[in-house]
Amino acid sequence: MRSFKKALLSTLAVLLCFALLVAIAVYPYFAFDAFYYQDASVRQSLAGQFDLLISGASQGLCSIIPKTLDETLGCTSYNLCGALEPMKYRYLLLKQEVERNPVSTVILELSYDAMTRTRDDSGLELAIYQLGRLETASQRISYLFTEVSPKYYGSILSDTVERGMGVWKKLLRGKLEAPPKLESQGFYPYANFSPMPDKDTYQYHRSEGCILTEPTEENLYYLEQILTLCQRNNIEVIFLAVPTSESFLWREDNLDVMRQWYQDTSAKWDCTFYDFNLLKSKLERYPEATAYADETHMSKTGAIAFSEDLAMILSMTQKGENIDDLFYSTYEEAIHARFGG
Amino acid sequence: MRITSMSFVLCAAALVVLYYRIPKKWQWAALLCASLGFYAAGGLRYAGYILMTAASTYAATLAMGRVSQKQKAYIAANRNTLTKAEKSEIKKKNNRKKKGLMVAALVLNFGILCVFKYFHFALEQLNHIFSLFGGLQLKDTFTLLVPLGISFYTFQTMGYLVDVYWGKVEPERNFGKLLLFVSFFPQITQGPISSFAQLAPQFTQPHSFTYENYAGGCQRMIWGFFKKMVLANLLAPCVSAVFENYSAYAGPAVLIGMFFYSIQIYADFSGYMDIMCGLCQILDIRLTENFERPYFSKSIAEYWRRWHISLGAWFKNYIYYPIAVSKWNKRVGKWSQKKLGRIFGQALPASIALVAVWLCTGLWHGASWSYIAWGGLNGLFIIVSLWMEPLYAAARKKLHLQESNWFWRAFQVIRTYILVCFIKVLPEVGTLGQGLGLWRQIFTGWNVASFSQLFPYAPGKETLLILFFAMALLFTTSLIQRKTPIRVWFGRFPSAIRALALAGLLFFIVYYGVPASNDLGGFLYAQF
Repeated sequence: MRSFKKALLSTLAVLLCFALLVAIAVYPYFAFDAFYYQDASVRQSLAGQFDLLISGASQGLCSIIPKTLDETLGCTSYNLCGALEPMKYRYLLLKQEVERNPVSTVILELSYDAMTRTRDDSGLELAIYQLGRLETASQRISYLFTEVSPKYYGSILSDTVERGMGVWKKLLRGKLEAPPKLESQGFYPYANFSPMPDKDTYQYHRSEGCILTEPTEENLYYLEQILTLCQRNNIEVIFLAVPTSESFLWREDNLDVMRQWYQDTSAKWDCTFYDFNLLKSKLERYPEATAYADETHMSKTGAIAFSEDLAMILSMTQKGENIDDLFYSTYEEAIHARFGG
Repeated sequence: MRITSMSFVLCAAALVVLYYRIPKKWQWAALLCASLGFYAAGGLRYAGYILMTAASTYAATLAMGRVSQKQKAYIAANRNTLTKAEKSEIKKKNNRKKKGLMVAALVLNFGILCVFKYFHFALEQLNHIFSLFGGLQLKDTFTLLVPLGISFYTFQTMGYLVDVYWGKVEPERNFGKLLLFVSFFPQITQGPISSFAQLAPQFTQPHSFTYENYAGGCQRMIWGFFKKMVLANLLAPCVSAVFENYSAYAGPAVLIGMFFYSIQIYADFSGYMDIMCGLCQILDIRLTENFERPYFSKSIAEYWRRWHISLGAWFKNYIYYPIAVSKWNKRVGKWSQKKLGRIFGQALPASIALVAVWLCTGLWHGASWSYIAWGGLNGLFIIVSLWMEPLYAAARKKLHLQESNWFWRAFQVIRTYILVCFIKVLPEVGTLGQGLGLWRQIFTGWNVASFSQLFPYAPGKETLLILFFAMALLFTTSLIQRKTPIRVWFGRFPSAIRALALAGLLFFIVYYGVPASNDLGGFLYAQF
């Protein structure tokens, strides 16, 4: 028994020293609010003000600027989107915000894989982002032990230490800056744009890929939960597909299948659906050379133009104007109109 | 299951708790369950092969045991009536029976190993020969993956089989205990290859938890994780860059890449050993040591007595000695002593045995001409040293060189290290031609303009600093171990310092080792 007690004490001593080293490493990461997801504290401080929420994944996070919507629509909005955000966590976040804000409108950003991607697909990376979005230590601990596979624990610890050491390095070089999320009401722009493949290459890559079209049970369940929550609270829901690059639309098949599914679901729940990939002026408004950071995410330049257009469309709809002429009906129609063949 | 994963650490912790909680007579059963579980995690469909090895060895050794027992009983019962010649005849007949059983089991198990490891290589060579005569080409349709640890468990089990034949050990009557010896999980993927006499008795002894075993084992595991996850995995991208594209780098950069490889492979292999030996120490089981500061060796022969010690011991016991002391080799020895003198006469039979050992060693490491060349090169150096020893001794005497002279020893160590590095990279680059191409590249482009050109493949200044720190730490511990066991030296420090040092190693493992070991790739949203 003495051996065992001595072993336990020495193990605790090593773990205590290790915890001390980790605490020193990660301290600035939390203390200087330099972590990538500050929105929990921002949302808490601004609670009670939001009447428009944007819920989605990274496509929404980097392309919808709340301030632009506020200026045009006269609302107070917040971008709740998160990288790799699956339906379950969109619902949980929305529920929390609906409970403490006078929300009248929810924009539900639905990318090409919003309904088909599983939480396992995103694994470790999703776990790290979700941990950052939670508000309290007890929520984080509960999430870690109930939602995260033990095989990721080491990587999560390593990632947190790495972020902490990154902040130490910035501090030592005097280069610490507040990340853009703090004053952007949740909007997180991609830094640079990348010119997309030239349109001459499209004919060679037409129909090379195929997106999945079978929504997962979990995503279906939580989408229904979101729509029921909004219905119960008299919240208008807008389904939204943000623009992706033409090369992606040209390459991937089944986009019309997913579009039709969103259309049918939005109609069933008496919601509006806008797919900005079908905008007739897409090529002019979101040029392939500057509007995208990668194939499926808009750059800051693209986000500025898109947010203006979104605000304008929502304003026109509010005034009862017909906007059908501004959009094509299907992806096939849009692609043929833009590129022929 | 990767041993550097959190899952392995948690499973190992659970095993330790269970091991010391259950009745001592069932501790071996807990190890067997853990071993079979570990093996099953790697692929249940290949479990059949390891079971076949265990079952065939079990049957053959029991049968050999029965033959020996019957012989003993018969001779004892008829001691007074049997003549010496009759007794000798009975022994010869039974030896033939035992030999038949042993050979059958050897052929079966080495046959399985050869099919999995050498089928493609053999087919390739046959097709190459056929192509010289035009026409026939055999199709390679064999697509089975090699079962986990087949090289290690086959050698270990066949060693036991031969030991039973030689009468060194009694056959194990409990199939479960033999299966544990065959499949013991700390050894299954990378050894060490243990002898039955050394390992098996430990399974059935009662084991009690002691602080010394626990502390020593944990310290060793942490050191092993540091070597494997920090040093080896941080070096890996640099080494890969050189091996995949050596012609793009100047000679000094390729040379440094070659040295990096020698450290990477040592840190990786010995790191694994430290982790497993540490875990076994916690369980109060001693595994054979596999490394003894090999890069401090003064000759190639000494290097192979310090590197992968258990494999060298296996080849020595089961290939070298049987050939060296065989009747025909003794006849060769007698003939050569008459013709070549005493010294060279003794060297020739040893050389024949060494050729066999190094051919087998090369093939064991890999099925390719570059591995055969690698084995041949190692053997050549050892055999040449054997033959040149009288000349070296005369030269040392002439130059008044004392073996204990510090400069002479340093020269020997550096010379051996460089030779070892050159030989080591030969099969690692790809084909034999590519290995020789890398050697050639080392001697080109020596007019480097800046320090950074020495490490063009280095991931960054910070990583380079950490690498040098880790290498310095490894070198320092090796120097300390020349005089004192490292755990004894470490134990002299106050417990607070020890706790902080171990915590520091853990911190490095988490900060540098986990990302370097992570095969999940980069983050899609790295900016977040």
